[in-house]
Amino acid sequence: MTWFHRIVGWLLPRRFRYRHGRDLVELYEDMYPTSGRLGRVRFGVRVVGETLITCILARLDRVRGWSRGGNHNATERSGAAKHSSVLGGGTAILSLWQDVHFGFRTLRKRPLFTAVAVVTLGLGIGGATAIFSVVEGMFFPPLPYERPRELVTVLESFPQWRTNTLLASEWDRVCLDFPDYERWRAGQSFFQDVAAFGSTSMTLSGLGEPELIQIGTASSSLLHVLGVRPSLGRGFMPDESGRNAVRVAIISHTFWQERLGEDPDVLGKAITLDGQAFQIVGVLPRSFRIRRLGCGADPADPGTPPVWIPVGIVANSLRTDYHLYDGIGRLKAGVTLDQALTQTESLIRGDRDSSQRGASLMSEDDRREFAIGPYRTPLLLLMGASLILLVLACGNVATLLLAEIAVRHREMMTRAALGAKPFRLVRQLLTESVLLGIVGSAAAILLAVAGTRALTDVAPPFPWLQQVRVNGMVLIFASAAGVLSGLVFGLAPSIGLRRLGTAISTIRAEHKWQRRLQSSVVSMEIALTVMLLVSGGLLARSLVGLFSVDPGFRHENLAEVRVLLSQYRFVDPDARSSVFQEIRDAIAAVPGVLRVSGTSGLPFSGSGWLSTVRIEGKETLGEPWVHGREVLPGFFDVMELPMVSGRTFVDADHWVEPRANVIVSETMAQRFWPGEDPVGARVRYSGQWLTVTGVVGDVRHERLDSEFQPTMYIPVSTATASLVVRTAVEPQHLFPQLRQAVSSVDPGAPILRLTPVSSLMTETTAHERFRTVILLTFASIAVVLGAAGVFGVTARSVARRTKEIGIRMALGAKSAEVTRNLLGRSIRACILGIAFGLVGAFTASKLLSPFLFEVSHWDPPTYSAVVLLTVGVCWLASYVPARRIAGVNPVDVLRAE
Amino acid sequence: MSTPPDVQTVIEASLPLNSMDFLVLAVLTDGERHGYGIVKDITARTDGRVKVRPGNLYRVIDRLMDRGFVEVKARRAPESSSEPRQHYGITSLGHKVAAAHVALFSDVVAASGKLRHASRLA
Repeated sequence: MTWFHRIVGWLLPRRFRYRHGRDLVELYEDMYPTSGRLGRVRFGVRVVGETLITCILARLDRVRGWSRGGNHNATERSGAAKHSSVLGGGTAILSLWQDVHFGFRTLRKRPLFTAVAVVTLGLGIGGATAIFSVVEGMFFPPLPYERPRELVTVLESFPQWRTNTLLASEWDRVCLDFPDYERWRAGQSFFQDVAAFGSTSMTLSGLGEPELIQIGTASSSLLHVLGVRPSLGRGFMPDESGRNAVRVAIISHTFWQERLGEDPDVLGKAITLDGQAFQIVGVLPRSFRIRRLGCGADPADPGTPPVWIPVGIVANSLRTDYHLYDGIGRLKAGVTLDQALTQTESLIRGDRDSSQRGASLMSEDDRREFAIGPYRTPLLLLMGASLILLVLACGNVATLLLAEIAVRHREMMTRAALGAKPFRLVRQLLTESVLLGIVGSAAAILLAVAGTRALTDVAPPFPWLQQVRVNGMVLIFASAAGVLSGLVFGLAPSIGLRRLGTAISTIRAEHKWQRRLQSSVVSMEIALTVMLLVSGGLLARSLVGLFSVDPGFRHENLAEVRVLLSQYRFVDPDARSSVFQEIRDAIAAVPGVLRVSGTSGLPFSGSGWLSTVRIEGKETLGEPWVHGREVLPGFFDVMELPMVSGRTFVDADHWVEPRANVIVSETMAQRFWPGEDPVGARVRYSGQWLTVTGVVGDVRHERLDSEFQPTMYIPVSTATASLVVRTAVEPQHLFPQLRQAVSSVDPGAPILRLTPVSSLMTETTAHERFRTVILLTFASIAVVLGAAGVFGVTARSVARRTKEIGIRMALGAKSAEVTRNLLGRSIRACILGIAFGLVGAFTASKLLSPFLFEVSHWDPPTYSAVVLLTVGVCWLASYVPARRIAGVNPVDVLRAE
Repeated sequence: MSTPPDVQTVIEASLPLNSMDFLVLAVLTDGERHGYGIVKDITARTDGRVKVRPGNLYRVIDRLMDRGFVEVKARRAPESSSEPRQHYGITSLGHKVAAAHVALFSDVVAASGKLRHASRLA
């Protein structure tokens, strides 16, 4: 138990150790269990824990003066005890204050050291906290419900979809239709209460320009199931939703605040949705949020519709086979998910076959997985990077402190010679480390706040991004890590000091292991820096590659105008078409607009559809899936899509006999008619045979890194999802006129989107840009920290060898030689770091492979650039302090000694 | 023999003893013990209800030594082991304090018994 002797010896107060240290160890020996490995391990843990507690308590005893005195004179003793407890505490505080005061003075006296340490800590802790807060806030927002683990999302499953390539991912996430929900609600006995909710969109008018907004639809029980109370008013009543639904609305807190000016008398007032008045009966709490899982829900949807209305208002929403709702229920205590599943499944299935219909229940963990799943790897990468940053910062503080202590060797010796006890010196060093940690943490808090704000600005449009705040726990953790690393390394050199007691002559300013430790810390820093730089560099190169991809059409000076001609206003489709036509003409008349056309699915706009087709004479192909796009006259001209063969659509294709002909994309032609000219061939789509009149160039539909997909274009003349406008100038300049043109035709039509197509393209790369920006930010901070580390090593070695260098130069050494000599150690550390960093980067970048576009994870230019950059930075960071000493006059150096 | 007044003051100032201090003194009343002996005795007398942490035991002993209730005896091998161990014994002052503590608590117990009896009658 020699290790134990040491710990006890080192931690216990001297007097206590002297009196009982040996006995304590012997007692533990007596109690040592003779059998059972587990028992021994447990005993060991217990011993360590108890010893630590004893050490603290024994020290406290001493401070409280309990263990003072020890004489038998009662009056004196009790009086003395009272006195010493006051006095002992007082002196301790007084000398602590002295330490703090002196600590501040020494830090102020060394502004460079202090500044570098504070900046290092600030950057490391603040940066790590900011990134961690953003990532955490984006992916793990706290759920605003009571006991969310009891909440179970209930959906239907369609087992027959499992074999369908396009639907397979959705097979167990089909929404409930209302009759299924009602059957489940009536028959279930395992839930305290159940609810259904869905979403739709409606045009909001009467509050500024008409606007299409997301609307939540909810059964009256929803708020009760979630355990949420409206912050104003009430929820829906049971007789307000379902078959006898009435027009009432509950609004979100944000909507109330931003659109209604926080009107305290909002209850009872009306808002207009799709031209009809809805009476406001409640305002939701600010934190309200409910995520959908069914109906192909987007994991990134924040689940915060501005307005909620009861289910049953929207036409058809209660009919069989209109699968619109997520079910949610709160389990009764003690009911397992499996029990609930069996019952729910039989209720939802009804008299249908088990191969046709089932239920799927999702717990809180499933919901979370649904939201985070697609982002797991980037998430881990980012968190890993922020951890690296924190390690770098701690490492730097360590090297700085080690260097500092070497420099202050003389001061320590003098103070010890003047009678300072070793413990006092150690405490002084510790106080300084802690002070540094506190100041650094303060800087970190500022940086974390600013950094979090900056990051949420560059982040992709992510749900609940606005709610992201600096995470207090993370900040505390990171600061603790910083302060602790200061403490540990502030303490390390003092171990030697303490053991030697007052034997000043043997105090060694520098142990070999300290120097080695410092070099290894710097090597590690450089290795991590290289890893971050390579990762950031690869992502950046891949992003550049992504931007240089040809989308297939000319995206400059091209704008999308999307106008909503809602069906509730235009019951007659012909009237709708004619208004659309007028809008189109009005836009075409705007000066600066060259051509206008329209399509059901503009590339990168997120709309368009997939459908199955049959190819005449190619029955072996079965029913392949292709992208279908309806287009208005002139579409290919506006997009500047090249015709590869055949002819483009003529007016007759659109007006006289729409949906009779089709133009296919090059990829579709190659895939279904390899080596043939498809012009004249026929495609069966939606029960009709269409004749191919031509082949047109490919475009990318969703993302710049997506493959070309087989696509067919069908000529129409009716209203389409969006209008596409080719302009002579930057389209942004024409936006006011375009808006004007739309409202001159139909003042009630909300403009859903008015945006340059190039920004649509850029938006699809939002996640890539965010990743790259973050990693590059990390890498830059890492470079700064690494440079500071190298600087620290060289500066230390310079300080240690000032005298020697003075003598050498006095004896005629050239300053270049001296510099080279001084650089030796830091350069060795750098080379070692770079070597390890390259190995690490090679491994880490394999993880990045899925996010790299047309760049290999072993990309020689990136690696070479990183190595060059790192060598340059290392050289500069070590050359500056080395050069400074080499430039001084040897006589001055020697005289100073 | 009359007790010197200062000893009386010490005793009064020390009462009531905290339970751990009293247990250690009580064990030592039966004779000298080494650390492990004290631990075992306390465990046995309290049917294992009181668990003694070694570090805490020595803090208690340290405190009792400071007050002059416990003193260091010879270092010798206990019956259970061949290794010599530090033994501790109770001083006469310690005896008096422990007795005073017992007396005080008997009074308290008696008083509370009377109180309980009275309240039952009422």
